[in-house]
Amino acid sequence: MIFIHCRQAVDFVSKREELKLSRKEVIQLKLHLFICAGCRRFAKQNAYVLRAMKRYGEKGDDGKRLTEGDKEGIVKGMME
Amino acid sequence: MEETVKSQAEASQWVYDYSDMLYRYALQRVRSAETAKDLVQDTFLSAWRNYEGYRGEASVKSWLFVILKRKLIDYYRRVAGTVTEALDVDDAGEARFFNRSDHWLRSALPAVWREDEESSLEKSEFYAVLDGCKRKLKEVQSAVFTMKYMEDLDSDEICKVLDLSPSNYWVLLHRAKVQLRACLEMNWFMR
Repeated sequence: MIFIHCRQAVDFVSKREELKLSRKEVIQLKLHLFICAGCRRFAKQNAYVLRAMKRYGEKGDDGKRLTEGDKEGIVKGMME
Repeated sequence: MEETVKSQAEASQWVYDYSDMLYRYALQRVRSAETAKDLVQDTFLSAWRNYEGYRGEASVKSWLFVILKRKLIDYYRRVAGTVTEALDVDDAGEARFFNRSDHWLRSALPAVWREDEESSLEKSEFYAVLDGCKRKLKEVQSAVFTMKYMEDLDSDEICKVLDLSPSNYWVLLHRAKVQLRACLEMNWFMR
């Protein structure tokens, strides 16, 4: 079967990121993406989400802080 | 006596200088603020107890981060320990996105996003939504996803560290991706 359904295409998109697709699956996915705008959007948006997440992990100060009480508790724990 | 006073001053200095930094790092990577706080506390305790082991080879900051990262791995491992059975891609996790003939449900079909993708990356509100979406994942999905895409670890290594079968790993990671995209679409790009 050269044609795959959306559910499988989405699965293949994930696997493609890890280069885990066989040559046959690569062709199946390409063909599916050629004819399916929804899955094309999924593939593009999914890549974007992963990029955004990486960036989020590298981001610096977002203003979140421990309270003074928490900090005092940590110091106290260290002194015990 | 003087020794103790000096130590406490140093401990306070460490906590004052680095705890918020470590806390933010942990908070992005675990489910609850409480867990993040505990990990930071454990990090300082370990560091303090092994003070002898630290000989100023690295900066205090990078030494603390090394310890925190080790604590995080322990946390991921604990969370992954809850997965004891084989997961099935066709389980309910994804069923709400596809119909019986494996096409997108109308409600789940990826939309043409209204909000600009690149400029979103510059907005702190966007990251707040992203963070919220990540927190909606199951804890174990979030752990796998974090290791892969925030810590940038290799898949084989993640399976090994978490003692997950490759197929369970794939199911968890895949579900996390599908859900994150859908959540961002709903709460940011098409809100």
